[in-house]
Amino acid sequence: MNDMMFWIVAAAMTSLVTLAMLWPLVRRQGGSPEAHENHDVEVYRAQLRELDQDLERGTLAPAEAESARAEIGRRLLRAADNANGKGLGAASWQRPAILATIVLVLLAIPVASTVFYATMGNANLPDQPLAARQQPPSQGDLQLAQLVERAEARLRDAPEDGQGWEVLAPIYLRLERPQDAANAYRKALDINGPSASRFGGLGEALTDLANGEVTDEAKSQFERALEINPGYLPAKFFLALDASQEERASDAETRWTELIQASPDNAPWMQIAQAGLADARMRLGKTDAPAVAPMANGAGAPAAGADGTIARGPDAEQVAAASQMSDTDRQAMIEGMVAQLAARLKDNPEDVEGWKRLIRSYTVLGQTEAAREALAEASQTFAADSAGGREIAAFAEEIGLSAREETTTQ
Amino acid sequence: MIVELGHFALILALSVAIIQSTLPLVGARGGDQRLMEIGSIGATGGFVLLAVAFSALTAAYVTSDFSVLNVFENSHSAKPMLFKVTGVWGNHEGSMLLWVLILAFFGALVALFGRDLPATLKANVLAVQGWILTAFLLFILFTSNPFTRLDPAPMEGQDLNPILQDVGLAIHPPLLYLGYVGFSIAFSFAVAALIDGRIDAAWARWVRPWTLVAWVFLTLGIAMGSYWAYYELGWGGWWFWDPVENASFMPWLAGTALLHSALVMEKRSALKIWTILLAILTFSLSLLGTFLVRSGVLTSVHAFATDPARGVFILVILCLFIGGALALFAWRASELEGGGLFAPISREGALVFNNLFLTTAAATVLVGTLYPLLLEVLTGEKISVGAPFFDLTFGPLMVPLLLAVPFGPLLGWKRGDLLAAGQRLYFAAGVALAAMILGLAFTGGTRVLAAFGFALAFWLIAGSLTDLFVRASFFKAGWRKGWARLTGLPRSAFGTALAHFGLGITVLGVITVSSFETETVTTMRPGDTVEAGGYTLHFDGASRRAGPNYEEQVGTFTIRDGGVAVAETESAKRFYPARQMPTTEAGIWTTWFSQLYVSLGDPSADGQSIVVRIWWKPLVTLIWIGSVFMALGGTVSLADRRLRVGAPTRSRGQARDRVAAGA
Amino acid sequence: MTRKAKRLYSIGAILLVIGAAAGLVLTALSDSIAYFHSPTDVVEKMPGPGQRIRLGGLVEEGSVVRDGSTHVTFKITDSIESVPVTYTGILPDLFREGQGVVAEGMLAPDRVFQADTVLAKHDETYMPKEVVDDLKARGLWEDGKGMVKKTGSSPEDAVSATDAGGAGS
Repeated sequence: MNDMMFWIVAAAMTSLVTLAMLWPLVRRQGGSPEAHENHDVEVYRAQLRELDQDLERGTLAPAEAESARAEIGRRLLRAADNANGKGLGAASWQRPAILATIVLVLLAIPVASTVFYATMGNANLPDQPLAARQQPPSQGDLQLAQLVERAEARLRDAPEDGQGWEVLAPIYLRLERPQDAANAYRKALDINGPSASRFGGLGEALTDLANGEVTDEAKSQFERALEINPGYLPAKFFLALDASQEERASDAETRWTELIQASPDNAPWMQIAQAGLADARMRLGKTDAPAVAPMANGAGAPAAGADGTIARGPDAEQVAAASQMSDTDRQAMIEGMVAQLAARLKDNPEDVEGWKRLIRSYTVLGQTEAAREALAEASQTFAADSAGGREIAAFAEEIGLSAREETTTQ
Repeated sequence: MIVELGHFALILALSVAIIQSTLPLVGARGGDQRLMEIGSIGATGGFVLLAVAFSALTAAYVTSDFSVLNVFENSHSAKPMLFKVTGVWGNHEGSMLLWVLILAFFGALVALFGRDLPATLKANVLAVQGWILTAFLLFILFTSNPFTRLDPAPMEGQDLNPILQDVGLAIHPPLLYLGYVGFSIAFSFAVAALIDGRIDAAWARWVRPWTLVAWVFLTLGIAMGSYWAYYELGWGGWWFWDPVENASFMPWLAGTALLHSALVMEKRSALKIWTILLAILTFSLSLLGTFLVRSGVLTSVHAFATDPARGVFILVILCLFIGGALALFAWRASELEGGGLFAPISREGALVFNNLFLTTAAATVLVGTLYPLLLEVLTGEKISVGAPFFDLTFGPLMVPLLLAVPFGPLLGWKRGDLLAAGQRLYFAAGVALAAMILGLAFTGGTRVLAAFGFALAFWLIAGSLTDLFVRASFFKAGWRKGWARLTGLPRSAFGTALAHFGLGITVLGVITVSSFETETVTTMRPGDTVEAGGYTLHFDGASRRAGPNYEEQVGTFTIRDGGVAVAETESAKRFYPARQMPTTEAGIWTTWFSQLYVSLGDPSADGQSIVVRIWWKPLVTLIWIGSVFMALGGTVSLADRRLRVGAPTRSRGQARDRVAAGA
Repeated sequence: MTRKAKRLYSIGAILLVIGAAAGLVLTALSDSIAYFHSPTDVVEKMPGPGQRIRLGGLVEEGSVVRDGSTHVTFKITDSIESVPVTYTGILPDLFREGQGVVAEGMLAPDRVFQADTVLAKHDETYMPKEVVDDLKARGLWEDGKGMVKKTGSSPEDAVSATDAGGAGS
């Protein structure tokens, strides 16, 4: 549709330009051009007029004017003599030659332009202004945006609210605002103290900020996350990615292998992990099937190909996959993790921390309804006056969630 | 779709340019009016198409369409709207698109206003413009396409280099390009004359206003760039003899020479061959400038991201056009008719003197700019040629030239009277001498060079005013009549006087600031004071602030004059997180024509004090004010009716009668 | 004077001006240019005192010492040799440890380089060309990859600075 529109406008533009260029040719007969000498005569006459004016104004001495007049006069006479009986007039081209030229122009402009454009352009690629890509936001996004705005407003008033930063940070990550996410994680770390997920999140934000490159700074965050929780898979993933990016092949191999073994089969990073492993093994010469291209080091600005689009080798695809972690894949990853957690809590409901994590996850994902249901379920599991029950209630209050009320309050 | 239409328009413009560069030429050789007319239509159409392409790219920037690689690399959604728009030409691809747009713009102007030009001359000129356009469109499409797309599009751009996020950048490159590219018209006229093997009488009358337009823009562009570097880079310097600055200064020197020699050619039909050569050289220097900046052979503040393929491509274009034009010149120049004769002491002689010194000066700048490159290619030795070289070579060449300036307009055409001109300049000489004596007295006789510089500046200023007085013959004819004659003077006379006056003003600024500026580097704690230029600078304290896309540390200073606070100024160090880049925002306080310039360095380890660099820059603004006067002079000259060229009438007999009657 | 004599005089005058300009250029070229040296060059060749040179390389990590006022000392290294540098004034915005820099000045008899100008480029992806060329020649730099280092510093980090040359006045 967009495509059609483009070609219609392009065709209109082309025909307009071509016809304009042909216009002088299709007219019956152009007037014959003036001989040079006639133009020269005109210029000299203008000079004489100016001389007179200067003389009238008195800006020129009479003697000087006289000699100038004589000089211009001589040139004028010569030009006028030459002009007599001379003209460029009749030397016009004959019909066949003009016809050939018309055909040439008629063919050259549209054909050359179209062919050239076809090799360089991307007619089917629509404009993607940022505003249009953000709007109209889906129902969930709209809610999310409102939540973020509200949370930001509240945090401006109470910047020491660690939980607030903690809730906001992953949302920033999802909204591709890595700088904000990193700041939020730092605040959360400052206020709430270290935790694997906070360090991991900060590392991820820093990685996003470096366009997918696991920087040294990010790396140290992941390492801290693992110190606290050695089984924290996202941190393992990024450390393995780092090994691949820095081409430490044997290290990468170990790390990817560990990650794959520790991850559930449907984990969202599995594809990348497999590719990373294959790449590392290939570099080590352990396999003869270089099916997967290496992980690019640093997903900076991709290089432009000669055809006008970005070269999309498998290499670039991998990069895109990795960086899209922050978009659809991350969403899938988080949802997968949440679903697992929910399933586990069904079998083993006596886990206060687990419930808290689940409820917070739902809040983060903007699934307030699900969060409320989880809260209700947790409240049923623990007696209201038990330690667990009190903790759950306090937590719910903390993140502004209530099982009974219809709306989330601040 | 808009982006792709822009891309298509760019390619369509190439097809049109190819037709424009061939058919009119064929038409001019065969004398076919129809083919020649295609040139005008092509030039106009090409301009419209490029305007569409440029608008499309601008639209992509305004809407932050990151599916366009160029936008992704150089823009950011959080950037203020002004810088989104100026960002279009704040990068290599976009600035090249602006370059060809302006080229096409000048072509279209010739097509529209050139109705009265001899048809073959016009056709040839437009064809040559078509060649240049074709070459640069190919360059853009093959090495620097601004319409390259990204799919999928990233959500955020990489932001424009913060140092380029400045209002100065909004105006500087377009002005500079209008100047650079404007000289292409003079070049095309020169090549057209060589192709035709004859120089029409209209030639100089046409070339002069076009050169003047280009020169005015280039003057403003260079001044703007100098001021931008002065306040944005935070080093307090206004001219660095940086290769890229030289790249714009060389065409300016050659263009100034061309302006003067075209005058001789118009009035006296003399210096024809030289003027043609100068027209070729001026644009060649513009092309060389483009090459130096775009190819990455130079390292400079202004050089955008570089790519060897681009360098080679531009080098080929450069060789093709400069080599081709010079070869054509060598082949055809001898066929051109020589012109009028003149005595060495005459207006023409003075203008030859001007040309000699300006072109020699341009040549020394060229040597200083290219010598390090050549040496590196030949011997691998790396050297840098900096300000001392240019001060030593360019400076001495300017002195005789500036001394001669007031004489020129007072000398008669053909044969002048140096003594009479000298007598008329008694007043100016007196002013200059007074300035010198005052200068010596104030410095206790220690600054002889500075005093001489003052004399030179006032010699130029008084000399330019004398020129007007003499023309109006105030002294001979009395005030009332003199006034009437002054207002009746042709505008070009005012233009000349204004431009020479501006030159004097600029020289005054240059001399004063280079001789008497003071610089203090010191660490300051809040409450500390520093003396500069007779004022006391009090450091009030530093604070942190957040801007739209940066964070800054701001130092606030109070300026006191004899204990009384007269002004406050802020100097800042900014940090742009998107590019992880710091910049310095100097605090500048202007009083009359002088400035106090404060720039912040690093805070000390304990965070209590900060390094501050303070300059007192006496009369520094005169440097740019003078340039504005020069440009104004050019504009006034341009408004002179007499630069119009009339169309020939059919009644040839009349002309003869008129001459007979007049002579 | 005959026309021929006049013409001869004019040409003579023109040649005189051009000759004088050429003379100026040659003197200036022998006096006021600075050769580029890497730290290794400096250590090997030991340029005499009074000879202006441009010293280019990377600012050695951990070598920058500010004495609390405007005086700074640091070392410039090409990872083979390093040369101590002293400088008084404000360093360019993008002067950072581990990044490219060019200092202009003279070598003092005590082998400490007295810089009067320190240049760093105003673009974060820029490395002074002379420095890159030099490092390349020594196999310490690869196109598109930057500085060849053992640690995992990315090429984006290899950066820096612009002609903060003295005012051209």
